[in-house]
Amino acid sequence: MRNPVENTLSKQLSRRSFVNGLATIAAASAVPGGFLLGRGTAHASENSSSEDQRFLIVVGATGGANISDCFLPALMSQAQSPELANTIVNYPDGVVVQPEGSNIQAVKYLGLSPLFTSDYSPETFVSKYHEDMLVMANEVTSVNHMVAQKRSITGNGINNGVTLMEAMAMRHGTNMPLPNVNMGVGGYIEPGDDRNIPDWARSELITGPALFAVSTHGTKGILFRPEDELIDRARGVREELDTVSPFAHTFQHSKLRNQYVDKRRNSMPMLEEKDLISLLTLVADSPGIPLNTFGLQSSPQLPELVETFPLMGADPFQTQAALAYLMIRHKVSSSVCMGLSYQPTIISPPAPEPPVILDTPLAFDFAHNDHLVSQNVMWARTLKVLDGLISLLQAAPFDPADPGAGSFWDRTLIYVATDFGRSKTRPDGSYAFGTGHHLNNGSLLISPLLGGNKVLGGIDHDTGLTKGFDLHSGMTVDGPNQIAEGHVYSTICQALDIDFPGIINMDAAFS
Amino acid sequence: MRYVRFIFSLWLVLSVSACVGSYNQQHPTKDVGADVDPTDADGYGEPDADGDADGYGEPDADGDSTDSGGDAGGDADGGPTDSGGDAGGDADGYGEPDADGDATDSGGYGDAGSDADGGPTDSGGSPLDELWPEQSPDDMAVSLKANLRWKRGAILKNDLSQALGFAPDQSCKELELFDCFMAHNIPLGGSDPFGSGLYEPARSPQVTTPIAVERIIMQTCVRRALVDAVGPAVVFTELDLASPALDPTDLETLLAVDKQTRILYRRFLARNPTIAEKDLIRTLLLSDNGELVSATDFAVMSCFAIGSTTEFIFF
Repeated sequence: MRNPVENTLSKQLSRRSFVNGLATIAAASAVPGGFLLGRGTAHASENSSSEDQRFLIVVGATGGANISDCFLPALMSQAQSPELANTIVNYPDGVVVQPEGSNIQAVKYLGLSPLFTSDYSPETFVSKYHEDMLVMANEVTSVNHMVAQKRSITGNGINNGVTLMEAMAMRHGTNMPLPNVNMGVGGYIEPGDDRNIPDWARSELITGPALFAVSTHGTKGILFRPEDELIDRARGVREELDTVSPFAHTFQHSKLRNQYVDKRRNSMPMLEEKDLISLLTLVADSPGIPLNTFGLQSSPQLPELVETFPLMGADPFQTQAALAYLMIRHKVSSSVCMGLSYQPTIISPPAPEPPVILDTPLAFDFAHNDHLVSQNVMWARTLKVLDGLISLLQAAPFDPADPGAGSFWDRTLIYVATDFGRSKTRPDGSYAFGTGHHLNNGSLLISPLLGGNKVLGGIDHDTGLTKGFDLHSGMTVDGPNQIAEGHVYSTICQALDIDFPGIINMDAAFS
Repeated sequence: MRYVRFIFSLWLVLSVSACVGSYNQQHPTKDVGADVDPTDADGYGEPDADGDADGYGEPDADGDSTDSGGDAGGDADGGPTDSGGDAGGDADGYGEPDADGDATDSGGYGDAGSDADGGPTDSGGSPLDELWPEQSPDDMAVSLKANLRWKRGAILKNDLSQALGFAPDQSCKELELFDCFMAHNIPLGGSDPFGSGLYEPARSPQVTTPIAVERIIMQTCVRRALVDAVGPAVVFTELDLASPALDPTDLETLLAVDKQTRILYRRFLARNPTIAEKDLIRTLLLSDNGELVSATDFAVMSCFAIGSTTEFIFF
C-alpha cells in the first residue's frame, strides 16, 4: 500500500502528464500565437490556485559554501586524537553553538580578519529559523564551478535537464508575468537542457535589480512621449504593419520572430497591467535620480526595504533580496534566483570613514587563500540577507482578505545552492590555510514546507567528510555519502508539489 | 562591319533591358506605382483624381508639351518646369541619382519610382515600372528556413542611431542618466562576463526584450522629433512639426505624410513602404476618438510604429 505522499505524487503525475501532452500538441501546431496557447490554455489546468501557490528562492552561494564550516561542523574534541584533529578542518567546541530548541549547530562569527568582517553571526539565524531549517549532507559530482553550479539547480539532470526554477515556473508560475527571474551568476543562470521547456518558463535574467522596474513598461517614464492612447494606437498600427509587411509574410515561420511577437503581444501587456514600474522601483526620488520628473515613483514598500536592507542600491546582494521580495509579494514570479558575485562589494562611506568590504573576493572561493575567513564571513553575509528576506516574507500576508491563507513565507522555500564543498584537511595545527574544491558537502533548505529543525546525515570528525542518510528513516548511514544533487532536487520538488518521472521519494525530509 | 556593330548594339540594349526587368521582378516592393498619389486608393494606378488615366505616367492627359520624358510616374500636374532626369537634391549623402528630384528627400537610396505629386521637379522613373505593379505580400514566397538573426544591442544601437541621424551614444538615455543600451544590455541580447559571469547571452529574446526595444525606439524618436522641431530637420523633413493638428482630408498633408513615411521606411528598413503600409501609417493621423493629431505626435508615432516592427529587430 502506498503512503499518502506516493498517492498524491501518482495522481499528479498522471494529471500533469496528460496536460503536458496537450501542451506538446499545442506547440506542435506551430500556429502564430501557439506559445500563448501553451501558456494560457494548455497549462491552465495545472496553474497554481491561490491555495496551493508556492514560491522558490534559489540563493547561489557562489564559490563553494562548505556546510561543515557552518551548520555541520567537525569538532576538534570529537576526533580520535589531537594529532589527527590538527590536520582536519574542524572547530573547537567553544565556537560551535546549538541554540535552545534547535537540533542544528552553527559556527559563530569568528572575526578572524580586520579586513573582511560581518556584524551578523550564523547562530542568530539558527536561533530564529531552526524550525524551518533542513541541513542535508550530500556529495556532488563536479568540482568545476560552472558545471557544479548548474548541476546544483538541475539535480545533475535528474529531471531531463530542467532546472528547479523552470520546473517551478511551469508548476506555479503559469499565471505570472515573469514566472522565473534570475539574478544569479555563472552556472546558476544557465538555462536548462530540456529543449521542450516552453519559452515563457525560461529564466528572465536581471543584472541591475535597482532599476529593473524600468524594464517592465514600454513607454512610462519617457519624457515628451505622446499620450498613452496615442501610443496604444501606434502599437496597434505596428502590429498590423508586422502582419501585412512582405517581411512578415516571408518570415512567418521564424521561431525567433514568433517568440518575440508572442512576448510583445502577450507577456508585455501582463507586465504593464500590473504597473510593475511603480511597484518594483528600488530607488528613492532624489536630485540625482528625479523619479517624479519622469512620472515615476518608488516602490510603496521602499521604507520597509530600506530598513531591512540599509545598503540596498550599494550592495547588489541586498538589492537582489529586496527585488526578490517584491517579485514574490506582488506575485510577479514564482521562482527567483539571486546570488553572490565573484566580485567583492566595497562600500565607501563619507570620509574619514574607511571603505567597508562586504564579502571576500571570489565569494566562498576565497577559501583558496584563507579558508576560515572566507567561509565564516561569507556564511554570515549570506545568512544576514536571508534573515532580512525571510522576516519580510513572514510579515507579508499572502491574501490580506483571508487570514487563513497565511504569509508568503508559509509558501516559500529557500534553497541555498552551492557549487561543492572544500577540501577537508589543513596543514598541521594551522588556522590560516587555503583549501581546494571537494565533492563532499551538504545543502541548506529553509522553509515551513519542510520537516524542519533537522540535520539529515552527519559528519565524520576524523575525516571532515559528511555522511549520508536513509531516505525514509533519516538515520545517518556510515560509509561514502550516497546523497547527490538529485536527492536535493527531489526534496525541493516534493516540498513544492512538483512532480516529474524519476523523482526520488524523500520522506525523511518531511517526517 | 556596320552590320556587326548594329547587332552588338541591339544585343547590348536587350541585355540591359532584361537585367532591369529581372531586378524589378525580384524587388516588387520597390517604388513601382504612383507611390505618393494621395487619391490613388490602392496604389495600383486605376483612374484617379489627378487626371492621370492610370497613374503610370504615360503621356499626360494635361497636354503638357513641356513634359520632356523620364516621368513614368503619372505626373498629372502639367507643370511647365517638369523635366526629365534627376534634378539633384539628393540629400542623403549617398550620391546616387535621386530620381524624383525632390530636394527634401533625405532618406534616399535613389527612388526608381515616380512621384505623382505634381511637384515642379517631378521626374524620373523607368517605363518598365508600369509592367510590374506592386504585388501583394501573399504573392511572395515564404521562406521555409526562416533563418532570422536577432539584432542584438550593439547592432541595434548602430542601426537606430544611423536611421535617426544621431551619434550612437546620443540616441537614448534612460531617465536622462543611463545609456539605454547598457541599462537594457541583457534583454537586448548582450553578455555580462565580468559582472554576472554571463558568458553566453540569451539564446532568444526575453520577456523584457520587446519592452526594452520599445523604450529605446520611443525615446530616440521623441528626441529626433524634438531636435528636428527646432531645425534644421534631419528626419522629419516633410512635416511642419509646429503644426498642432494634421488634417487627413487635406491632400497636401497626405502627400507630406506619405513622403515622410517613405523617408522613415528607407531610413529604418532600406526600402519603400508598400501601399498597405502607407495606408496604415495614415491612420495615425487620427486618434481613437477621431481627433486630429499634432505633427509632432504623428512624427513620433509613425517613427515608433515603423522602428519597432520586427523587420527592424531581425535580419
